[in-house]
Amino acid sequence: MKKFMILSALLSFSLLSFSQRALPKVDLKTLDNNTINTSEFDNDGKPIVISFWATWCKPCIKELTNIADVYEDWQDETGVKIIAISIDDARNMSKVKPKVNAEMWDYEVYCDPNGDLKRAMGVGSVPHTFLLNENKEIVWQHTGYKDGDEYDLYEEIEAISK
Amino acid sequence: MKKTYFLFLSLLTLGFFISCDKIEKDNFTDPDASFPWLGKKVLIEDFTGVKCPNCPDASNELKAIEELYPDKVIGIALHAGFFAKPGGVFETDFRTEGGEELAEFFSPESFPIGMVNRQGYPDNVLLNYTDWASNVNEQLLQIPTIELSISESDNRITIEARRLSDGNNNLKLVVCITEDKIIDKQYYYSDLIEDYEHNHVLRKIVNGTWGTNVDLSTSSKPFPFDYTLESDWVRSNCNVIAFVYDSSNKEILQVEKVHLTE
Amino acid sequence: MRLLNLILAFSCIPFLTWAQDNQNGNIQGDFNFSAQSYSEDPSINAEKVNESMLMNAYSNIRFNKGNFTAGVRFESYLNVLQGFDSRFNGNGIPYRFAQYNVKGLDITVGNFYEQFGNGLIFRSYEEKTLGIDNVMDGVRLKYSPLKGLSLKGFVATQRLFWEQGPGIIRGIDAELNLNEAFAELEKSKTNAILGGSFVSRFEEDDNPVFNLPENVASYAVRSTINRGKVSFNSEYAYKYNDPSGGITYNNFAPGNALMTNLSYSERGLGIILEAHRVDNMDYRSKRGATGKELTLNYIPAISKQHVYTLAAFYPFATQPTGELGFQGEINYTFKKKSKLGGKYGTQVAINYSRINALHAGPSELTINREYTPMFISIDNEELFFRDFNIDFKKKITKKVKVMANYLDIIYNKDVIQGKNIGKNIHARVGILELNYKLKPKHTVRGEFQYLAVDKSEENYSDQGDWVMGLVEYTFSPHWFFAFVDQYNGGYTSEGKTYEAVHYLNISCGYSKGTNRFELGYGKVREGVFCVGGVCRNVPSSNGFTLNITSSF
Repeated sequence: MKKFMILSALLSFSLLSFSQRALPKVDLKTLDNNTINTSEFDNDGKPIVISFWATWCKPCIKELTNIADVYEDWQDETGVKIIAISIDDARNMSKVKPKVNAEMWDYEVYCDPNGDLKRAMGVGSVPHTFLLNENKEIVWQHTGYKDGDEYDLYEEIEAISK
Repeated sequence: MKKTYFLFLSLLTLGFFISCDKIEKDNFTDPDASFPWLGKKVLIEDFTGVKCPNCPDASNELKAIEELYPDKVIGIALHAGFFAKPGGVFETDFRTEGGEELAEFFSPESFPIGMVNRQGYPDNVLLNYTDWASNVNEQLLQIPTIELSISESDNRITIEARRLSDGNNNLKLVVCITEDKIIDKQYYYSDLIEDYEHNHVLRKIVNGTWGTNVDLSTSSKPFPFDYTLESDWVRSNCNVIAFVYDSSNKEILQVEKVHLTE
Repeated sequence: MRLLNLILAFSCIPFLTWAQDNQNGNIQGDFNFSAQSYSEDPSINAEKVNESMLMNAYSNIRFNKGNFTAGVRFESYLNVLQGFDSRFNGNGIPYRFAQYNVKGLDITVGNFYEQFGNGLIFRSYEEKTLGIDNVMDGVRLKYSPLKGLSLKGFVATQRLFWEQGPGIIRGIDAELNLNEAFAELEKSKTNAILGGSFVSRFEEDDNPVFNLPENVASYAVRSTINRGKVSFNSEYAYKYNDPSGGITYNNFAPGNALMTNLSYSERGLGIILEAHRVDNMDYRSKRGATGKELTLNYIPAISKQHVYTLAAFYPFATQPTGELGFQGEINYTFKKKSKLGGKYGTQVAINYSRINALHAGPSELTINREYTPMFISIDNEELFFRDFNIDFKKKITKKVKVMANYLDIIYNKDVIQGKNIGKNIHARVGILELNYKLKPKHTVRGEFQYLAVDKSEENYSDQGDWVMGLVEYTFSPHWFFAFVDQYNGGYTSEGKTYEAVHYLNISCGYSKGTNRFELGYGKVREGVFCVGGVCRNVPSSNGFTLNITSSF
């Protein structure tokens, strides 16, 4: 009897198959301080890149600026959408919109001032970038940024947009 | 219209949750310090330093607690560490070997900080001075387990100690000398006070920082200690303080003080 | 016994069915490890560390299936790194929670982080690099009864290292988005959001002399109004009597804080004007708690957060007891191909901030004195901090990028770091950074920084001047190498002379996917490291550092 119980417990756990990670449902703030939930992120079945950054994080700004140079091409070829999530807290949140405008980025930008999405997605330090497939599942992620890393990101985007 | 109703209602119900006490001006204090004292005295040790700008607040609190519970609360000011180290305009060194050793052991991270009967070791032994009064009150209500008395003559201190109840055997006795009314410099916030009155200053721990083991019984035993005062200490400002503590948890079980006379 | 076994066996069936649900569960987590070795080094005042090696580590594990999430965090400090409170020493699980969303009602039991508005009366957050983690433990509910209205409420205690603080905290927050809630305003060009919150702390009064309030409440109201390129944000907070003294002094004065922010932003131009006034707003879940312990609220520092090492040498931290601050910033981007823009465009930012004390101090209501400071007073008030800085960023060619920075800072070390010097520090900092792309995946970056303190009689010259040079080589996607030298020319303080010192440090790192390994060696100067206005003092050290992070 005991064996049967252990077996059925193990069986149920194995059936609890671990699938691709879905994007956690967390509330974020828009640049106008409105609330938006991550479940509203959509790109019509095309890839989505989620990049965590902060106004005080230089490699993050470097990453987003370097990608901005090739964003149009990326969009033409794969339809990818980049969503930049700023983890700036109340001190620097007011500087996010001016920064985005100064850098002239065309991304969707949201704010996560108390780190709720950051925590839910297991982000330790920024920059941290995720790639979501057509089902909004996380298929690739990367921490840190060095000049040239955007090429690797693009390879991954191309791979899933076939 | 329904929407606004709901809105208003939900906001109203939220209001029920604010609980707020507002004390009126004539009700600020409630000095009802009378309570059944059974004989347990309390020692407050205050880690302090001449260069520590916030320390006089703690010294004032210690003085106020002593006045609130006359003869029941005894204080020792431990000048130790960075804030007691002479430098710049501060020439006098109030540090002692015992004080430095205690600071090293209990390792306070910021000054001022103190201990009330060294209770709460290891996690809660260091207390902010705003917590001293309530902790002293709590300790004073406890039943004493040790009885102490001090007598002094001809450079010899005699401590008489006995148990008041059965207990453990890990007892240690510490005897120290403190001095009051030392006039010297002290920082107080951004001011330098030239003639600050330093009280309770630890001058020497007579029998070693951690004291001597004592085996107590229900009948009184005498413990004699010879001592000397340094030439720059003023005898009539000095006190002898003795306390018994449980070496397993560092907690002080009884303390007594006697003021030296000419 | 057999019956019991049978019942247990059958009770697995609903679990099996849940497991075969359409939505599958997933497990994720992250890991962070920091270790440092310490050698005694008298030339930089690095003291002996008995353990020789100290470590901070933590790991989060989260399980998610459909509307259910649960998680734990294991933390290990054996022993905690220098600069962190020694009460962290040990191992444990200080964070565990379960969260479920039932038809829009979000329930969290266990630990949670939360922020009301800008955090003026309530913010529970974590900042591992500073040793801040004032996570709450209790129950939290979130619900949106109407479109555009969201409510949050909780009852919890707060973390104090491996224990909980004595206070019981209750809080409610409501946020109303007028454009979403009222159909008439949906198409309006003006966007308005209003919010309000109440927080209350219960702590027993065991003060033998004073009658302290056991329920200390606070409230805050906030608004955000946007129209086109202009945005106005403000929040006002009020705290009822919160005396936290012993038996000698207790201040029954209420506290208040007001923050306002006006900004204009369009592509290529941004203007921000901010002001805040804080009076007696230190709010904790234990009366008299000091330092970073048990903070309930968060008042963001109204100065620019600097990134470069010497620019962040004298960081400002908000004084919750009382301050008046202003900040203004202009960001301008000279367009590509314009005269000043050059081929790729040029970015310029000018920032100015100034914080001073309230007139004759914060509000006081004691047995002997009743005082309320003037609302605004700038002339003749004690200056806490003043920062004027210019930032310049330009891509010169396809391979070369230049950044230049100039700062002029006045820093009141007495107030900000609790010292007793009597004079301010006046420092001027110049920074130049060059990025050079050797090949597509190889970049060299160099930084040159200079910090000069005013050595005249009216100012405090602190540690004198500093020079710093940094060279970093990155090789995408895996490697980076860096070499840093921070040089101090020597100085005298309190009659003692300190020799010139080179703080040399080399580091290299390897990263693959989400795994990062970083190894460093050298001298690290003592410093104050701040984020958002909360600081950590790190003593100087000499040794190896190892950082490993991962996500799975």
